[in-house]
Amino acid sequence: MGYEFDWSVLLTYKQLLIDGFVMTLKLSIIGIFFAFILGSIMGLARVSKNFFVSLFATYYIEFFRNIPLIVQMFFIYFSFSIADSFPFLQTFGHFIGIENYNEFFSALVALITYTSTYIAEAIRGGIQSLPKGQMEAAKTLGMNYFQTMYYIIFPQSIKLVWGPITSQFINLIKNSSLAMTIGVAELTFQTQEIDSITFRGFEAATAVTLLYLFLTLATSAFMSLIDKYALIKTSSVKGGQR
Amino acid sequence: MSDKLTTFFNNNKSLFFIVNIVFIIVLLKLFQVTAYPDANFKDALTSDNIKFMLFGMEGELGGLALTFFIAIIAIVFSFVVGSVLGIARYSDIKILKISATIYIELFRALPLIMVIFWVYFAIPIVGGAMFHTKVAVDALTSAIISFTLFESAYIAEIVRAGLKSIPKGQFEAAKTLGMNPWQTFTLIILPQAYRRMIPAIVSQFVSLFKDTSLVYVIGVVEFFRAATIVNNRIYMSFEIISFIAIIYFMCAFTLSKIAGQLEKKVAKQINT
Repeated sequence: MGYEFDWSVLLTYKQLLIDGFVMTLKLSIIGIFFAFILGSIMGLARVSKNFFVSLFATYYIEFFRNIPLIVQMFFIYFSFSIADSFPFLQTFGHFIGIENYNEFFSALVALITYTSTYIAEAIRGGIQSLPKGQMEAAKTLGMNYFQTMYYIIFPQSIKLVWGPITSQFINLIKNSSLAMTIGVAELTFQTQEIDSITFRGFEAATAVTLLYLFLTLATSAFMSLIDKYALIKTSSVKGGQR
Repeated sequence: MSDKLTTFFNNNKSLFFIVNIVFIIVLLKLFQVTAYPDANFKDALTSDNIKFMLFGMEGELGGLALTFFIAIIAIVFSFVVGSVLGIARYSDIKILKISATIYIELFRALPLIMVIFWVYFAIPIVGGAMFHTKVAVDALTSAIISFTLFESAYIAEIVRAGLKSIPKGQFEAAKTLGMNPWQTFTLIILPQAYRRMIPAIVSQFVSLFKDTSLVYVIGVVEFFRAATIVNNRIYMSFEIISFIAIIYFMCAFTLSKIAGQLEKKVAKQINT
């Protein structure tokens, strides 16, 4: 028994693939944006001098990092109807053009909390590996704590840990495929859809695999462009002396 | 006050660990009281349900036990495959290096759920096309195969990083002692590299342990699937899912703490 390939199904059902791709993009871009902000806040809080702030950040990070993403998604989706509790999500969802608010935002919130912990850990590593002299020099110049963090410490540590952060962004894109389990129609979901309509899972999976490859490669290329042109150029962090 | 607490807990690490877990459970309870006041844990978590979720049906492996089983088998297999791939990528032989690089980059760019689907749905098709027979794999086997394929790409990167961290002097010293390349590699380089890799591999095991929940999609009755089965029967999702979240948290947290301790130990050994 042989299997005859029929690639024309991809053309017939290309609208499904395009919809899935757009949905994955929406999840990824919004997720990356908020995960980066939340992760930065938590990473800065983790190294804070205030005992309770850093304790809170530690609990946040350990808690959300050690529970599987799919469990978080199911927890939010089945226990709460998140879009009904927070009506502004419906406005936002309408604005970005999605229909199933509950599914989408449950997946999104879980993705954000899960990925932000990893980003926070990366940023904490970057801050702790900076030479102590940076902090002291900023103090000598008369900067207060927030100025030091905002102008001196954060930009340098971001540059230092850009690689791990990039891989976390890619992880978020890959993990967005889990949203199919609660019924968000993104790329992997559409593979199953095409498979169940035409029984041509092989062709659909190949196409989706290529799309994911394209997404991750494009992300890492884009991130290295940002690294080259937008981040500060610093030589002080290369030496790594304390 | 914070200094005293820190020193106290530094001296009693295991106590700190238990306090942490208790504290998190108390926080969850508070959260439940405010956000979901009519939760009924007594009806949801009967001893039968808990037994099913932890050990599966009578007479077959399932539940949390199966989760650990899959994770351990997969980490052993992917350790072997990943070592081969990592050494291949580290080596100077071009064809080995290129093929290992392609494999690693491909699998690191794919979502795990796609790999699971590929293995589960494509093995019968590819097998049928290549051998002209009916190739059937059950869900558990294909889960282990897909975890091995996926994790070995990550372990290969760990192995390569471990090999790269060995100073060049070691190779030269081994050469001076008259060892051939094979001896150098197996007796000098690999043992040192593996010792440095242990913490990273334990943390990879933690992430594999969390990822085992994804075989839910192909119907292996591991911990998460067992919980959803119970949930579909009694429909008390809040209680069931917070229970499995706590169990997952305790296992993964313990393992990641062990990884952290190992990392400190290995760093000490290398520096002295």
